[in-house]
Amino acid sequence: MTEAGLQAYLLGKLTEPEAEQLEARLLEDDDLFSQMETAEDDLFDAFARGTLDAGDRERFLERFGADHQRRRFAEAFVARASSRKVVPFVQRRWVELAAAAGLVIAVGAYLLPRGTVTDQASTATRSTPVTAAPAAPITPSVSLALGSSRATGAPAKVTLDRAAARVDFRIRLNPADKYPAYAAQIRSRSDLIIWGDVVQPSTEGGDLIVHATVPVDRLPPGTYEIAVRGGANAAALDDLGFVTIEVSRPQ
Amino acid sequence: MSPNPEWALTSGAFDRLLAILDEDRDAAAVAYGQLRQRVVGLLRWWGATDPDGLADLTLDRAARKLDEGASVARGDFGAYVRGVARMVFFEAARQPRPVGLVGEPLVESAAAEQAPLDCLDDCLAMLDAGDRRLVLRYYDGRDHSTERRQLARDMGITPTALRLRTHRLRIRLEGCVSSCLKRK
Repeated sequence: MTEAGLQAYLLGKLTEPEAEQLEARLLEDDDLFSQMETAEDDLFDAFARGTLDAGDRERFLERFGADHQRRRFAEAFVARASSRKVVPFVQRRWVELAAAAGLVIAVGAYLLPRGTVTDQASTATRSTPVTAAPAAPITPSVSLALGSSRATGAPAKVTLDRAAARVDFRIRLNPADKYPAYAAQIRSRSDLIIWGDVVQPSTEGGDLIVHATVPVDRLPPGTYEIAVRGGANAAALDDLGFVTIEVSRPQ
Repeated sequence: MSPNPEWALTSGAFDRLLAILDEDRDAAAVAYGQLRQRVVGLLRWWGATDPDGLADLTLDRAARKLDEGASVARGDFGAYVRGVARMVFFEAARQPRPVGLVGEPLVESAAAEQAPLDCLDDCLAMLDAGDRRLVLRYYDGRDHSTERRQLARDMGITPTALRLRTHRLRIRLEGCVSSCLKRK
């Protein structure tokens, strides 16, 4: 039986004889019963995603509207499960160090001349006589790696100095995830998208990296999820993974 | 709540029910548990407020009827139990019950909306990484039939085995989130 047929039953769209016949089979057929349970899960998820048409939404509420517990679970679950391409990821040494030591990445705590925007550039700039140009905040770099779940491991702790205008999240991707186009999003814990942009890939030290340069005023203290998407073009992107950060400011 | 409170399940009646399910008593006990779960499912899909309690009533009544001499062919047992369950459901539905907020949208504070997500994150973190990836991928909302068949192929298991495994994981998560929310 198709999933559409199973959901038609759950929504009360079958005739009484059809339903009666199906129900007798459900009591004897393990496989059919498990299909129906999954169809029920999918129906709760479809309601939570808002993908049911008006008639089906009404039928759903008539039948399952009182099941607040499952509806609430489905709402949370689809927020975590939707369109996630789950990628296994091999943790590299600096990620392991960060995780093991609960590394606090303090950024933006100092000011350097304008134009000093990367680690490599800063080295070159320091060897050059400093002009009298007015100081501007550095855009410090924070190294992160994507994981397959928001819940994987402890969040990376990022301390942002108030003087920093932007922060450059240097995000290492799975080397298998090479695509022509990438984008990154930062979401709050309540899944609001607070920043998003196209990002460019580069190869640094053999790693596939994208840089997300984000105004720090978008990141008040709190916990965020950075999601990176990739695909053939900007209109066809899939989630590649995500990393959770915990932003704080020095007292 | 029982429509026939004067009748109690006897061991003889229960044995007759088990005998219909399987000749081997241990296998019959397993089959009984599975049948009960399916009756719970049916009652839930009909909108019963206490599907577990009504499933027990259904099977007790089916056993009683068998003990009283009802004859049911093995191939008709599903239809027979379904008929008994339907009667039990209608009888229960006639009982007065509290008026609920069926169909009303969930209107909650921002903090209450966040709590299930936080609990889910905690519960997902308790799964091992493979199970976590699996359940999120299985229910990721894409084209179910194609994606899930491919996932089963990738894992080298049947679609049925995959479906059972992921549904069990989801049930586990639902239970975990429910417990977590009660603690908050």
